[in-house]
Amino acid sequence: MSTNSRMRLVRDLQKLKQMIPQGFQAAPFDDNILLWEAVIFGPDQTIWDGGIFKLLLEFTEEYPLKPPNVIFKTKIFHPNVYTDGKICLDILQNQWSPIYDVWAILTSIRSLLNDPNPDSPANSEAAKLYLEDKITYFKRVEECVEESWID
Amino acid sequence: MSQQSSNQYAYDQELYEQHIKQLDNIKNEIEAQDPFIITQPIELQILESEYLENQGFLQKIQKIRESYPYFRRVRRDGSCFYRAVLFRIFEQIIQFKDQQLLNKFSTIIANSKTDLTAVGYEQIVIDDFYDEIMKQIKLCPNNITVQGIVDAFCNKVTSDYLIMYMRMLTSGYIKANSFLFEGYIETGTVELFCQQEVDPIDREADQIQIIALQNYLQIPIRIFYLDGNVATFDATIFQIPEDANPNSIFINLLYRPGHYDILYPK
Repeated sequence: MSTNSRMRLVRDLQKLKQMIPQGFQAAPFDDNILLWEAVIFGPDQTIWDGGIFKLLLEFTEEYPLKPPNVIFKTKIFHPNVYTDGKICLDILQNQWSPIYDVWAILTSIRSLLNDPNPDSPANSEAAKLYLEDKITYFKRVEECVEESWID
Repeated sequence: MSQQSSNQYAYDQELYEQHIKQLDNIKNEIEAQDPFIITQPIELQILESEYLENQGFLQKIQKIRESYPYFRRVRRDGSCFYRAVLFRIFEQIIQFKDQQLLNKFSTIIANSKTDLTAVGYEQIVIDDFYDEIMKQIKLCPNNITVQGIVDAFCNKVTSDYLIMYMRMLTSGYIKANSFLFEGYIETGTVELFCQQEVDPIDREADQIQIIALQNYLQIPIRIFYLDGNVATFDATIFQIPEDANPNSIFINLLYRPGHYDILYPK
């Protein structure tokens, strides 16, 4: 049923076009519907406000039975993002369910920005600062928000 | 949706990747052990050979098989309850050309889309799963054989789509009737419970899920519970609902800790 995933991704895209999300944009590459590029805007009135973060979503023919592989292309300093951009988020891993669509995935990642889970850190430095030294943490986040404009 | 990760193990990437590999290995092992998804009916007696050392199980199996001599094995992948229930409904409809059950079931499924969107499911998310189950229902009772439905269930993708819809119905019912379940959910909200324990494709069904799906489908379920207690010869039977008409069609399941198979009466 390799067409299932592609047809579903077309519908994911239609939804994004019709409803116009706040806070992110996403679209597949012209020549490959399994590969999507997304941009998440840092949530307003948080330390992430103003940040523009690029992501890559790699789907397989098994979508939506299997989650896409999602990585940040923009360098980001966050307790739940590995330095290579991989994201540690339950719904993309052991709690994945076919009930999530592109919209739900990006909404979750966006809210993860300002609501990290330091108990399961992917970036232990970020997690440690988040728990123990908020001032330095804010500074580091601010830096990565500024750098995201240049990217 | 919660962003709280329960991945307590994800302290570094290497460890995390090791863990994912381990989980994949376990899944592969299960698939290698259980090459079937659903077997043909086999004699329940066969199960005795697996419990020669367990007198409590053994004597209960011997007692059960006096009235329920056959069972179908269902793959142990966390979805056995959902799979057993749905398969048994289709089988009953096809085997006995049970028009009454077909009408009841197809009406429930046809109306379910509205129920799911009412609790917040997206149409685009439901459609593929709904279409798959409707496709199978439309073949019933005359355009598909029992073997045909076994084959559909043994196709991994078809099977996953069908079972996912059962999970959605279960989740949907729990969310729509959260007042019934809140008291039984130990930690977190009903939403979180569904996210963690119902929606993911390999999560086992426990009492809450069983009651929710039964309530939604309105087809009585009888579960024969095997345990190691040597003082009892009869398996404990859970019947849902408790006051079901004894003459109605039952889905009979054999429960061993962590697993459900389908039982067949004489």
